[in-house]
Amino acid sequence: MSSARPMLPAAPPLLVGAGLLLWGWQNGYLLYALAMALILEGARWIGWRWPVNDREFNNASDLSSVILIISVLYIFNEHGAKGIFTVLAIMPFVVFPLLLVQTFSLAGHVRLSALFMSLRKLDPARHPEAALPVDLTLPYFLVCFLAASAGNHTPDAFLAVAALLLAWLLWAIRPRRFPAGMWLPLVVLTLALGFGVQQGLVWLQYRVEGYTLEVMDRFLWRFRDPDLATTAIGSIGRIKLSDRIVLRIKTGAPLPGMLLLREAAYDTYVYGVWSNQKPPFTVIDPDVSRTRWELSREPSDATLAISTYMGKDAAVVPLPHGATAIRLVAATEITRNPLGAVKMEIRQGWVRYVADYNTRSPAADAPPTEKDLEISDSYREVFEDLATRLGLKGKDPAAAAAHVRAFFADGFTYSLAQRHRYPRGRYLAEFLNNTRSGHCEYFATSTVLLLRAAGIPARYALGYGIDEYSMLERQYIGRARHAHSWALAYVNGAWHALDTTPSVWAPEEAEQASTLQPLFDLWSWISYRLARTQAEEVAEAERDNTFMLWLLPPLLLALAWRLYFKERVARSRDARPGPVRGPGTDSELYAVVAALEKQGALRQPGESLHRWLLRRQKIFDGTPLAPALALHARYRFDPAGLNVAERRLLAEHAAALLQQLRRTADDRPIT
Amino acid sequence: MIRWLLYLNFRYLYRLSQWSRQRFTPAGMALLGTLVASGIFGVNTRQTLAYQIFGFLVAVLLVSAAGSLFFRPRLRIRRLLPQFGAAGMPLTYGVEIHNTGTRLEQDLCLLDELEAPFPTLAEFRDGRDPEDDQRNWFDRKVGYPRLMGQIQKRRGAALAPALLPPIAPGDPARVQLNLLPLRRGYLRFRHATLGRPDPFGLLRALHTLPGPETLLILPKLYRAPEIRLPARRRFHPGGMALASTVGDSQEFLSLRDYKPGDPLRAIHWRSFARLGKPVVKEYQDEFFVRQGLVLDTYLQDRQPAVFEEAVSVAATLALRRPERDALLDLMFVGARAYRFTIGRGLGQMENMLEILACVEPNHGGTFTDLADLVLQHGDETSALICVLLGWDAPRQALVARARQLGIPVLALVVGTTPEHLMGSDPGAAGADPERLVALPLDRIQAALDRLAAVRRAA
Repeated sequence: MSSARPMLPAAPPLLVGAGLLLWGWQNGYLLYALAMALILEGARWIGWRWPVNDREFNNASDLSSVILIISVLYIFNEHGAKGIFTVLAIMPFVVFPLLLVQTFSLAGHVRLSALFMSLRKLDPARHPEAALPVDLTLPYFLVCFLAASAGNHTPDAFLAVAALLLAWLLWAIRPRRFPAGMWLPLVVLTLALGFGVQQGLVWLQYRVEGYTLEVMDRFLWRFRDPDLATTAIGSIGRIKLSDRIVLRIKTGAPLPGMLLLREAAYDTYVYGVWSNQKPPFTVIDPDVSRTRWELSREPSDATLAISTYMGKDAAVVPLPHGATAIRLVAATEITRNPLGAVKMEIRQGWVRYVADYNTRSPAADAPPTEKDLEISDSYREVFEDLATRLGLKGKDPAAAAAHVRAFFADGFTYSLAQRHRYPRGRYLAEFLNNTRSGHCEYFATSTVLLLRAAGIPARYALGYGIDEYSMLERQYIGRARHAHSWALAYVNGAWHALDTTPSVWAPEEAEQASTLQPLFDLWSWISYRLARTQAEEVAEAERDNTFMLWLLPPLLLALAWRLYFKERVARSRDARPGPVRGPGTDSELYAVVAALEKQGALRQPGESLHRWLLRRQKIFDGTPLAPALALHARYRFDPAGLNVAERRLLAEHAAALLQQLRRTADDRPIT
Repeated sequence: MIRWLLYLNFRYLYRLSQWSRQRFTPAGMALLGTLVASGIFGVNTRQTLAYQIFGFLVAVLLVSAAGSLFFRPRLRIRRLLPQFGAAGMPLTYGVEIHNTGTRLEQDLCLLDELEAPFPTLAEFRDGRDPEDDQRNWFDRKVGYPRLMGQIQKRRGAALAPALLPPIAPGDPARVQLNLLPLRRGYLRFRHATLGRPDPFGLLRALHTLPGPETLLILPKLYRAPEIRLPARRRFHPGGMALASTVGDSQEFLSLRDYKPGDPLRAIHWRSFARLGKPVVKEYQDEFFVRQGLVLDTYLQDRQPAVFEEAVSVAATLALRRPERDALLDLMFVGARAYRFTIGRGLGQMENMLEILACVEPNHGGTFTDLADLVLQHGDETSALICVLLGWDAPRQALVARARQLGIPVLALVVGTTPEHLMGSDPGAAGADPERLVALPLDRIQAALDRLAAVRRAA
């Protein structure tokens, strides 16, 4: 049986208004929030009320539901899954009509059935819970409280105000048996504990993200999405990528500096995510040999042999700037998008291809579009101001690009660690104006946006920076931590790479390497070579197989070990088998053959006995040779063999031939 | 398989919800919901600041939980229950709590608990609920609301927590609890739980006091009509042996010689001693009115509500002031055939109501069992009132047979309309349509009132 007392305690006076103001402040709806708070809290001083019946309460609740549904549909259509946070931010608007009706109703609360349509149809005699009165002020305050967090505007201020409002609420609903002197320190301690929990959550997220990055780096690193790249801008803590070798590059000569291998380029940046409009990939036709794909008609002046691992059948592959052709790879298909990403369709596993490129030629990407000059509203002001301050606007593009490079070279430091939290969208501003420290994504993103603010079309490129030479492999290697980003600037009608990240980035990241790294590298090299050995490569593949010698000593040792300790069985001399003798091998004709050979008559390679003896027929001086050969052939190869008479006849023929041979030998020398 | 998985999940969900309802105050539940929501929205600490709310609420609820660990009050509880309640009629009962400790107890709330055995898988799977029609497709298919309805029906009433006033050491306190019985039968109180909120008023520390008691809830009662059937007095050989000696019962007539078969208790011992041969006392045979109230329990595939209304109608008729010296036999078939008699000092009305409060539908036998029971006592019965659940051939046959025996019959058919009743074969009652009355589920009181009006006019 229900009592007349509402299910939930009412929010204390003015708390709802305070919650609304916090929400409005954090989400940029301050004027609306002020008006709503005045209406709701001002009702205390208004003497009239509406006689609202259950049906009208139901209608107000349904109105809120309809607003919510329409909002959700619209927002999800506009923003996708991330729209959930926008929905959260507007929830106080959505629920406001219902609370307004409750506030100005005579009852001062709504029935539970107004909130749940399923309860409205039930028999109230059997389901008294449907008629339970609910005061919506406390839930509404909690909705405002939660919705305020969606703004992510000023974390420190929000923290303080949230603690204050929560303490206010707890004070209002506290049991009265606790004196304030005991209760207040408890609340302070609890809020301090809450702060500790928050810091723990931030730390936990950092650790989880780090672990996830490691896992992705370990297993999914080859799956570069040519249309979307999520940066670590805004990540707190130290970014750590693995030392796993993901690329091997053989060059004709030592590299003069860092070699940038690009995988993809992007033109749109919003809140830590670079993307593009998914430009279509077009197929590049191979030449007649079907092992060469021309990317540009520019003449090449350098060549690289790149080995990379294909985790799936078609993936983006890294190529140097100014790549003119891909050769010597059994790819099914090679495609390229206007932003320069080249996708190769080939069997999974380690793949090696040769890339020709022109070291002085710019990238052959599509000309710039409006997207390459866009800066989202969240960053426009920061970069426009900076471009103006640096005097980039109106400057010659080449000079402006040089100025940008000089700007980042002066006073900016490379760092993989970020220690401070800022509201979303302010990380780049803090990087440029305060911390001046970050990793390559900060530099590349800021460079792109600064160039755009200066009126120079720019894109964000992602790939690898290669400069580590492996003495073991006698080639350059690219590790996962060598993943790098830089800017592409459209200067003088062509796209040029502009890498503003301080060059210390690679050595600094190398410092994080494990001391066991050489062992891991050796294992990686062996695995790679075994995989390559098993693979069917194109003819140009490795000629240098001396690496196998590395394997020889341990293999010989292993074999010796196995042989030495293998179970041995004692040999029996009696059991030793004699030479295998076929039928007919005791033919008397062999004595003739031996005598003939002794006289220096040698058989030509492949020459049959029959033919050889016939060739020497004159030596036998009329003694019939053919019957002896026929009997010998039958004795030697006929399964039925010879009878005794024939056997004797063969012996007689052979003796005659032998006698004639000796006689002849006595008469004249053999020629 | 899916039903089984659902059943298991619902079982845990129900236990969790029961636990949380007891443990959390309403404000605590609201903050718990906010904690969950902030946990969802605050997963990415860079996306929103909801993680700050989550952190605060985790801390607050942890401290609350710690603050609600220790609660060992010294209290004694006594319920002041009424003798009966009626289904659907709100009732109030008192609970007296005596503080036997040495400390002032305040901020307490009382959560009285009724036994509610969890339905079995078969009951969950096969159970029907008339309210399913009002539920949406998902609820009907999944069945959780239906399961909750089954549990609520077993519990028998809805109870809300009651706040207790501060109780000084050695003092008693009394609190009134409101209860709405949802069904007839016994409500079984299991124990009472006392809750005391933590310093933030979010979680309750609980202390359970055993107190098993029962409260009988009678069927819902209607305004009883006056029913006068042309009942004549019937011969009852040997009289009513267990009846008190009011009226013309047990009238001594004469002494006569013993005949084989006479009961030994009829032997007049003094005459036996004097004459030397057995002599027995002879009594005047009994003639009085004996009405039968037949309750049809064969629900078959009809709605349970039909049976509940039939029981209510039977209880309403049983509660009528009986005619002077008349007897009333309640006849129905439950686990076995029952014939319970009141009147002339026999039995108590309370006993009959208790029986009616606990009668259950018969799912095993056939209606002929009930017909046999009624006709077996047909020669003693002056009139019959049959509360029937339908008007099919076996029921028509019972009425016809009774009429053949010269017994006036009033047949009340619950859960049907007069139009439907007239449309079907009225059977033996067709000759006297006034004695075949339809009681539609939604107009039972009106039908009973009309019945009384017709009787008065006649």
